[in-house]
Amino acid sequence: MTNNTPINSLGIAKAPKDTRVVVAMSGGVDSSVAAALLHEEGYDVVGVTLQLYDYGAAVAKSKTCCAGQDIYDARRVAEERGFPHYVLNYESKFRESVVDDFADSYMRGETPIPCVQCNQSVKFRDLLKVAHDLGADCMATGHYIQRKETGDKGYPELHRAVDPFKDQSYFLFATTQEQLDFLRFPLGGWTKDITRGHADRLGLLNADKPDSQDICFVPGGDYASVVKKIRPEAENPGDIVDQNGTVLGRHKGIIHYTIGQRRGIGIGGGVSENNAPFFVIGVDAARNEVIVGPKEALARDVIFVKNCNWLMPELTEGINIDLKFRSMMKPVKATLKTGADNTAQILLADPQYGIAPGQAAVAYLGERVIGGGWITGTDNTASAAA
Amino acid sequence: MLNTIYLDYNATAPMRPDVQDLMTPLLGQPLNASSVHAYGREGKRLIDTARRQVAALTGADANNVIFNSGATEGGNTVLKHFSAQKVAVSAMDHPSVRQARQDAILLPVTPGGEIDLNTAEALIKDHKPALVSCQAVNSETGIIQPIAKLSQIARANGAYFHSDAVQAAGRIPLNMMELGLDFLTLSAHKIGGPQGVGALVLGLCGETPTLLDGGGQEKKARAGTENVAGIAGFGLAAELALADLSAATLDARQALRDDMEAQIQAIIPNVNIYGRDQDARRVYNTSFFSVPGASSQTLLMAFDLEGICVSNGSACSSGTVQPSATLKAMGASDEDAMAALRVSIGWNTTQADIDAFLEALKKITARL
Repeated sequence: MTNNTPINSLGIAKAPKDTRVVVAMSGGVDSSVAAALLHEEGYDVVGVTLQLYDYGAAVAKSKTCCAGQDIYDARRVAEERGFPHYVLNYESKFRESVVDDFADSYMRGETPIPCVQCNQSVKFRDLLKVAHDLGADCMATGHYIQRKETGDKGYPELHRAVDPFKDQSYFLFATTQEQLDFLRFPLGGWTKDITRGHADRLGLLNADKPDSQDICFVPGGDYASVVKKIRPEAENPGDIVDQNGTVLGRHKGIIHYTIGQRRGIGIGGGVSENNAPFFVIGVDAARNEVIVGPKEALARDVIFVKNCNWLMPELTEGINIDLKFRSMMKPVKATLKTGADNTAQILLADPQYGIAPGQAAVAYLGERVIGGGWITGTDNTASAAA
Repeated sequence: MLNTIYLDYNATAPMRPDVQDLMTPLLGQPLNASSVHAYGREGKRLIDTARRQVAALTGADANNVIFNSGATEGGNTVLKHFSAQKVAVSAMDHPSVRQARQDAILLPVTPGGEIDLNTAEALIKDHKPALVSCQAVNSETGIIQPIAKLSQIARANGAYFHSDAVQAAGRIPLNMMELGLDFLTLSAHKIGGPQGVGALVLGLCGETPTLLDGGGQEKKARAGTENVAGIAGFGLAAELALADLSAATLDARQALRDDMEAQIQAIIPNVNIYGRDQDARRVYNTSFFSVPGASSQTLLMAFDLEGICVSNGSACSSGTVQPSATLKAMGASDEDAMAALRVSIGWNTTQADIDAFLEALKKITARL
């Protein structure tokens, strides 16, 4: 390569045909479009699909072999477009890094988000290493998120997707700076309509495939049965108590409860004696108790997080941020105080409700994602009732 | 077709041109060997010729060759024939044998990659199986198994003996009588014949295991209209494989492999080359080694992107990679079993192919 070679669309000073890009293909329309477009641009595209779990076992059909429809779809797209495609068997890695942890998290009374662990471990750690070993110049995915080279800083930033309905930044907060250097997200600047338009134009066989809604290894959303398979004790019944410890009823396993939940608690009427609705305000895994109370008891203005990842070397103490502690919420104002051992405290400008341990707290500066951490606990400085 | 270098003969060998020339016109003809008419008689003649050719490769009587769809069918036919009785199989045998009888007693393997004869003898004495099965050559390591000794043990304990000789045919002499085999199974495509054809060859015992009932083809031992073109191709491939056993051919190919292994060692000084490092008897064509710290999955993809077809020895039908079953049976670490690579050469392999492989190996290992 000479120094005169222009920077290509992936930000690399090579001709597209000399630029190897591994594309993580799920079999869905987004990553298929990402791969097909890069191939159309002339890149040396290598499609890779991860086999993460035994599809046959997940949908309880024995004797179906290994690969599900998604793997088949990814392979068909690669065949039709004419680039190589491989399937990596990551079943054991996925079980160790994601599924077991998912179950354990529920057993701790938390509400896990396995998609973040998956991005963090099998996709951006293990698959990324494979891409390196294949001599790739970068790895692309079909995620809706933007990687921005903002010029003089010398490192790329992570920004929310242009399409707010598709934005996956919450699930990608754990992306490290080193990973981000190597990653590319060709769809982040688009709305889903544009992606679908390209899928139609390219005639991709999965152009009309609906977006997946479920956690991939929990078909139909029945996570309780998945957890039960791994941790049979997950459905041990126990007491439902109020804040004073008074037993109000029985629950059928703590996995069925998450903080902030109102429906399906399973105590008569779901309301207290003064007719206020009950909410799950805590899950005490050690005592196998579900604690309920009025909405006010959910109010919190401090969030404690661990295993933080920051995408901002010049992070300053007490920085004002916009915070999300659930994927679908509107960000709220907060102040960030980083602590020792990758922990942090987040002080919320106004008390918030239904903050569940196990979820992620993700920090933004406007459109930019500066990282986040895993929620370990909460506090309410404004009220002694907590 | 594809611009690739093929070094995966143990998975399937490219068809020999002579076989292709023989089969191509036959594929267009209505050759039902059961018919009385001219085409029927021609079909019968082709099958009988092939029967003699396969018999010659295995030192058997031509009457004892039963054509079928391949060694998976052959293994299932034999193993299931004894379904009411105990059977013992090598822990390294092909899945078509091990899976055919999941209740089989597993005969363990030494760290050197051979069946452990002492333990096998004790297990056979203890359990008195009706059938013992052990492959003649391991598909992953190429290590030649002591089947003559094991068949003696089996016979002394009243058991029949089956050997999957798929990886042995054309690589070592196979004489059913000398080896003491009751059943031997083959696949045509491993020796340059077509896929979907094979044979069950009967030896000493007089039993005729049968899986499929129907028309009376193959003397009622294997129902279904014969794949005449395929069987004819198999016969010719067997004849050519037998000719390959000449000392000069074997020596030349073994030199190619041994020289390659010396070069692999030079590129990866801490490589484990299975069989070679244990001084085991191996067939000339197979080289099986682990690249410390690497992953088979990634290596196979990387070689494929360089246009070189190799294997790790145990790919699943979906194309994903499993840890080597043989290495696990040999007691290798999970890490080694996940880092294995198999190069298997054959009738059309040239020094230039090996050189290209070594060049790619250098390039790929440099970036690990």
